[in-house]
Amino acid sequence: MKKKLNWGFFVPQRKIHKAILVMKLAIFIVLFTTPNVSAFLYSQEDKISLDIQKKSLEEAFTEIENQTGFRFFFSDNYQDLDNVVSYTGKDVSIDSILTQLLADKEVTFKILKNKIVVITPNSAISKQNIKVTGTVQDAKTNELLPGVNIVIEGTSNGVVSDNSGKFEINVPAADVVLMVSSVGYVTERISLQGRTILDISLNPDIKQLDEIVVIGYGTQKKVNLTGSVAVVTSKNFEKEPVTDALQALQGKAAGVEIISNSGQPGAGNSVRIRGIQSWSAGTEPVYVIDGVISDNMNAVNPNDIENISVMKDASSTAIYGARGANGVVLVTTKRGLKSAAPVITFHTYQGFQTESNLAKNFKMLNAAQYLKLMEESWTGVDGNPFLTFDADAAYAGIDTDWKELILRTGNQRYYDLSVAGGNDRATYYSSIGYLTNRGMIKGQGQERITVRLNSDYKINKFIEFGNSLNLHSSKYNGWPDISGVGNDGINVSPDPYTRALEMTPVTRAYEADGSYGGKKDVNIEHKFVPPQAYINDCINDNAEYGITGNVYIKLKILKGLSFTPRFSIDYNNYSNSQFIPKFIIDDGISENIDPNIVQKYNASKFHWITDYILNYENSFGGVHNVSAMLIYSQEENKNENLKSLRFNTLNNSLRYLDSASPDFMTNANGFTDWAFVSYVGRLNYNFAGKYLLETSVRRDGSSRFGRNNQWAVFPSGSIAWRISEEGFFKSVINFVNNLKVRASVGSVGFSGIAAYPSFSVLNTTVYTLNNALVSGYTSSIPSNADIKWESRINYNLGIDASLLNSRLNLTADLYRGRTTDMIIQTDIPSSAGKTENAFINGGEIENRGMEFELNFREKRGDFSYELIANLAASQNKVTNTNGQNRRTDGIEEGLPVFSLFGMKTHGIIKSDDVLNNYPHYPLAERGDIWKEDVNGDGIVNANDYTFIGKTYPDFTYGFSATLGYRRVSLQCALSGVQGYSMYTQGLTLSYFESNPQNQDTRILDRWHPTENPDGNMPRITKVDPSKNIGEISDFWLDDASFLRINNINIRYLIPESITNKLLMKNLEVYGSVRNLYTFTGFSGPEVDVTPGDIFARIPQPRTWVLGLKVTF
Amino acid sequence: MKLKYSFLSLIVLIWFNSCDEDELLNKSPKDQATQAGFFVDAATARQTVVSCFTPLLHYETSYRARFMHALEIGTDNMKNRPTGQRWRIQMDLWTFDATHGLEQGGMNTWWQMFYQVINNSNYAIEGIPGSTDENFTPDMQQSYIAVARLMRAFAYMNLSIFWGDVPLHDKFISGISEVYKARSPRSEVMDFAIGDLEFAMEHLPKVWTGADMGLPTKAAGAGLLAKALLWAADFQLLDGELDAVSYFTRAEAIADEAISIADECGFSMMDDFKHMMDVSSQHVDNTEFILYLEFKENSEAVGELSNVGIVERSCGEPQISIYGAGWQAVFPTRDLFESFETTPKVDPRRGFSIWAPGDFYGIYHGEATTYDLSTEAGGGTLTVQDGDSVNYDYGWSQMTNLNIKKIWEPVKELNNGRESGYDLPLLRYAELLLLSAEAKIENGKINEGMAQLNRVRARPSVDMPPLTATDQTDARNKLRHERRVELCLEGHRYHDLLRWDIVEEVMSRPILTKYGNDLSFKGQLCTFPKNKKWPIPQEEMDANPLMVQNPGY
Repeated sequence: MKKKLNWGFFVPQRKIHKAILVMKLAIFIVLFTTPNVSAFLYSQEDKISLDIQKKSLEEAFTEIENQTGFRFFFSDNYQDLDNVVSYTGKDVSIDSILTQLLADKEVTFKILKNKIVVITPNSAISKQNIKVTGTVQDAKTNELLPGVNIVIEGTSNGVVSDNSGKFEINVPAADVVLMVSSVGYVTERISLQGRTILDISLNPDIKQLDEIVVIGYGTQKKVNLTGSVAVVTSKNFEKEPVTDALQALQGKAAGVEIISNSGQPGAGNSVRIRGIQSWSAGTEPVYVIDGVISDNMNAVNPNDIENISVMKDASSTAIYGARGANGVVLVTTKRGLKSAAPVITFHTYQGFQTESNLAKNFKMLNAAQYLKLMEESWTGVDGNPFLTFDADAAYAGIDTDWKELILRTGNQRYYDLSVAGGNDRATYYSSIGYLTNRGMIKGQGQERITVRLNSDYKINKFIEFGNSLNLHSSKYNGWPDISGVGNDGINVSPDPYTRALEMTPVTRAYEADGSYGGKKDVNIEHKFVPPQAYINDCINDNAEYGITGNVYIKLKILKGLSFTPRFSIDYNNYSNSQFIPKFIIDDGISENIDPNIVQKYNASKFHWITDYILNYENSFGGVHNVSAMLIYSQEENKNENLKSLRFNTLNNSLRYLDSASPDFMTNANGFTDWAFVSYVGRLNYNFAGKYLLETSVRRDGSSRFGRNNQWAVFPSGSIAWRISEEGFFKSVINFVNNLKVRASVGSVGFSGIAAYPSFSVLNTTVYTLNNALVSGYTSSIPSNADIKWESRINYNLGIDASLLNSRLNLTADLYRGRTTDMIIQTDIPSSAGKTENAFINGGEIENRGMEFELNFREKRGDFSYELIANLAASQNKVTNTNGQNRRTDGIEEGLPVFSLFGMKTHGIIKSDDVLNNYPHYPLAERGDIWKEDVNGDGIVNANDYTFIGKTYPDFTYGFSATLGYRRVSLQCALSGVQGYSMYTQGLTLSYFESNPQNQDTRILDRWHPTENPDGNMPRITKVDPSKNIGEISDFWLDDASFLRINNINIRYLIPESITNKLLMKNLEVYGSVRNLYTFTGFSGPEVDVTPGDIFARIPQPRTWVLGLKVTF
Repeated sequence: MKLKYSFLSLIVLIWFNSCDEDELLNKSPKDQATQAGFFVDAATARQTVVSCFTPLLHYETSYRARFMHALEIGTDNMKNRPTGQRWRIQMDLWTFDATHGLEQGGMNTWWQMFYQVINNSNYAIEGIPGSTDENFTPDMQQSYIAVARLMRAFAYMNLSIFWGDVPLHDKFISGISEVYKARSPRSEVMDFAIGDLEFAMEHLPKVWTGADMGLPTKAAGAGLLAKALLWAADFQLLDGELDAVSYFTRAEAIADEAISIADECGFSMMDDFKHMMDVSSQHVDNTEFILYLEFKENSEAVGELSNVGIVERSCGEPQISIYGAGWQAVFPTRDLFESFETTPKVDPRRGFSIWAPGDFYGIYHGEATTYDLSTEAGGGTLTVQDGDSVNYDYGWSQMTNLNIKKIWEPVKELNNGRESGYDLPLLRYAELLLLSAEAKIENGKINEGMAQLNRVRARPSVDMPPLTATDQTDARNKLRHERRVELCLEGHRYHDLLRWDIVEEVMSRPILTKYGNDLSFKGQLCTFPKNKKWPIPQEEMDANPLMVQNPGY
């Protein structure tokens, strides 16, 4: 029997006294660390007889232990235990037996006095005292290669080249062999032969057989991919000071559109993959972070990310079944490095934020302009003023720039410290990241701390286990901009930015005594509480913390067959604390008698997933490569929230619920849960790397589906042909390194259904009887037990090519898809009297598109450059509206989803001729919008509504270039969106029609019979009789195409002569500008927004940073 | 060794414990009640019948803050401020169309509001008989069902008068397939409502006790039935149908019966008009509100829906310091002001209903303040001291120089100007008399009709001399005038203009708006006959393939 050495502790097979064990441990440690202390060595007196025939080494050891009482200790990674050995000898010393048994093994043994035999690998006790240094470069381009593994052959000892391609390694002997390997290059075996300085050139592996792409529940060699997957590696975004990884994807992957939710720090992004394929369900893809299905991308430290795979076609996403329809974003974080000393990296950047060019150029009226136009607006239809006022007297000397009051120079700071290392038995990556981002709007800020630990352990050759773990804690302060102007114009959501745009410039910000500016006439002035009051006096604090991660254990059952149970959790707790004080503002508004409000909200989510993954991979006869996977998965998600609201604390400095009046408290507590049970299978086959086949199927059961449709099946299949592997091709075309055509088809679903569609829940109501509140119940929420997932079938044709020694890589994809059984709402006429609309399945959309990606890199002398470009065009068409007229939602058969319908116009009616000779809108006069009689019936009315524009782009594109010269590199990343419209009539252009508020300066060009007879904007009239702004028309459509310089980055690698002195491996400094400039003809303060939110969003700031990255 | 791995795998499998699939997938809501087993006893019955009122309170719809404003600004009684919400401006100018108020309330939401009342009523009507508690006998159930049927009828009456033929949902809709219905003829809808009200009249108790106090009584059922019959008769005439006479006959009989039931239930004309319309009489000594929507003062839960006590925004000191006045965005017209009789004496109801410049407003309490005194002719400044009496000023309601004094509560006494506890009267005793008078006059019983009318005029605090009529037309005109001045600003005028078919005549004449100004007209842009009905909401048109739009829209 034997003792095994496991991670420094002993596992006794026999009952040994604990004290002895501890002693042995101590002895062993001493021995191990000081191998030449011979006092402990065993004296060679005992003689043994042994007869072993064709037994494993392990059995041989057992035999010796049984016979002699020797006990063996060896490291668990000792691989020779299964080797078959034979030995026959009588009365020989243990020493000679072992010498013979272990003759051809790379181990050293020592026999201790107390009959303990310790077997250690040679490398562990070798002296490593010869220092070898060198550089690694690309043999073709001479580009210095970072991240290359240099390992002493036959050992696990090695290093990784640094960012300038340099490495330094201690070798035990002058004649060892170094194995030099890197992804994408042919591994070199270099015999040192006494050299201590090496310049190694690696030849690109033109087959790129090693490049691995992360796919659903696994990985695949890039050359063997049969579906459409876009990969963005950390290399592509580590040079950008992004606060959230999705931001970094902008413009980087064809067909992946990233739209910022807001310029507010931490607001996140929306993602659309391959355009829009449904009009009702969400467009967000599924995010899978290290195998955990999670929606909390904001909690991931971008620096932790190794790569992001975006799975676009159905053959890649079908593995996520009922949730794959909008694409899947797989995020893989960094893991430890095998065979390397710890690599410690510290990264920081510090910067500031200012308004972008768009926001800066978006101007509101000044006081003089405002008053003049306000006066015009008060002129009635009959020419008589509704209201007269003496502007000069009341407003002389006031011209408030409200935006200036709330803007500041934001600042952004980021720190990240990570350690990665390990050996071939255990690897780890651990990091701590801290981000603070004070936005350019006062009072708004974000703070985030993330701690990550990813580790992988190999117990022996059968068992591995490991974990991915992310702890995060975030805070967000300041009022959000999801604006809620409503309720009679009384502000309910105090968003300072929108409010600042709306505030009338004729109102003072502050009175002489420091109080907030009062209003003189609410027919002239806004009736909002000033934005600075919200910034100064209100609280809206959000805090979020949670943990996302998993543990797995991988059991290697047979050759090629493994079983991996994995348990994942995603826990998140969000809390919000609001306080709105009683505003004492002399404005004659009744609302100033509102009491103060304290509100607390807490929501927690607990989501767990158990996956059992059975994997098989094998190769037969050298040409038949098979891999197969079976998964059983269970998943459950629980959300609970708790909200409490009270009014009337004694004074504004008391801001907790307990300090408020108990008279009007309200509280709410909600709970929802849902679950998935899934069976997944996948089979891959390829013949000699030439003909590739993949097929997968997922069967999903979901608690969200109606009781009558609880299970769904999503199959997919794809094939590919690597033409470049064919003999005839190789012999003819030699500048093509790789050429693959692929085709796929798959079915996927979307399950964005309310949690309990089969249940008709009762609504609660409140009424008063006899002066007391009584609660009531009624049923006005319809249910649908037949509701099921939304289905999509997608077809994809693609081609991948690498040319010119793989310097030029091209990918092109063509796809078509069809969405059916859409989960749609609003089918219920309001005459049914329900307060909510039911969800049903119905409606169809077809979409198609194409994508191109291209990258080219080259090095000439000291110059290197890399160009990456992508372009994606997508189109969709509604083919079935389930028999309903959905024009008001922008849905009509034969047209793109979310089309705009309205009046066609010809500018402004400037002459009576037009009025006399063309049909015109009722009550139209000169100065009104000239609306066209589209149907030719002589009347301009709602029947003339027609398609006037589409709200989703024709194509999106991105471009980035990296230029390097010696130690300097310059990177520029652009992204653009082309061919769509946005409606610009809205918040900042109400034409004085409703409550007084400021207007943007476009209104200055309003038509006026005397002042501006050539004006190209409608006349100003308070009642808008011919509905210039009340009727949707193409007059208000702007082309929202834009090209944005997302990022410019310049960096410098400090010479080794300096870094060496500072004990650093590497030090680089950089400067970067994000959102430098946007080219567009669009007139709003921000163009990169979801349609409909143009004026209700805080624009993206322009961020300037200086950064430093150091590696030890 | 294999044993060891098997053992380890076992541990792993136990650790990654898996759940029963069915249990995992069959989830049900845990934070909300569901239909199953809901109806038990009187308490659950009450919970469903109070829900028949709540759709009228939602902020977006809100019978009081929105619908009732519309019922006045759409007529010659009121003028809207030219700013503010689009739906209100469109109501005032008659420029509404099928998308009216889509964004903020307006016709779209009123349509929804009434159909939600119908849905909630249907739920109660069908559910209550299934109550599981044996002690809750069918007899006891009938009175709750009667409340729901009364509210359902109220909703159908309002739908019929504005939209004409409307979908008739007589059953609770549980499945999605039942939601589409075509329009039923107005006469059929009214007959259905009349059936509901006959049931309500029969089964509602004369008095509710305990937790049920405040629910409509038998008098409300009878009174609303009389009103429905009168409307049905008017619709017969409007729609060119032949049965008007029989409806008028029934209306007269029921109105008389309703009066005696109201008397039995303890309702009566109150002597003091001002007190009767004041919040202070509500739940104390008010005997005149037979049917009303109840609100609780300073209650966040329902108070946000009331909105009767808001001061007009342009008013400053000292008005606010006293108590504020009027509804917020709408003002009585000079036309209404001048419709009150002034000979042989000024109708006191004018003073009870409208603030006019020069009226005594209140005693000012606070620090001395100087403010701009504006008059139609010019301005000046006025300084008021603590204890001074203040008169109503022109500048406090720039639209018409007049303001509302009815259905109003001093905001100074509220936590929030929106959280008034004023109960909105839907039917009061005086209207019951006028319904009876109208039915009698339409049936040719001129003198009897005028006698009922004169009972309203004879209220001690009003004390207007009795009127006589020369013929039916004269009587009819006097009745119509009496309804206007007695019920002004209570949300009846629009109904009356439509059912009497005088909307074109009234709205097409110049309507003076501004007190002290001879050049200010209402400027409404209505066209007839189109505007005799409201457009079916576009939302409904889009969602319901069986729906047909009203002519002209």
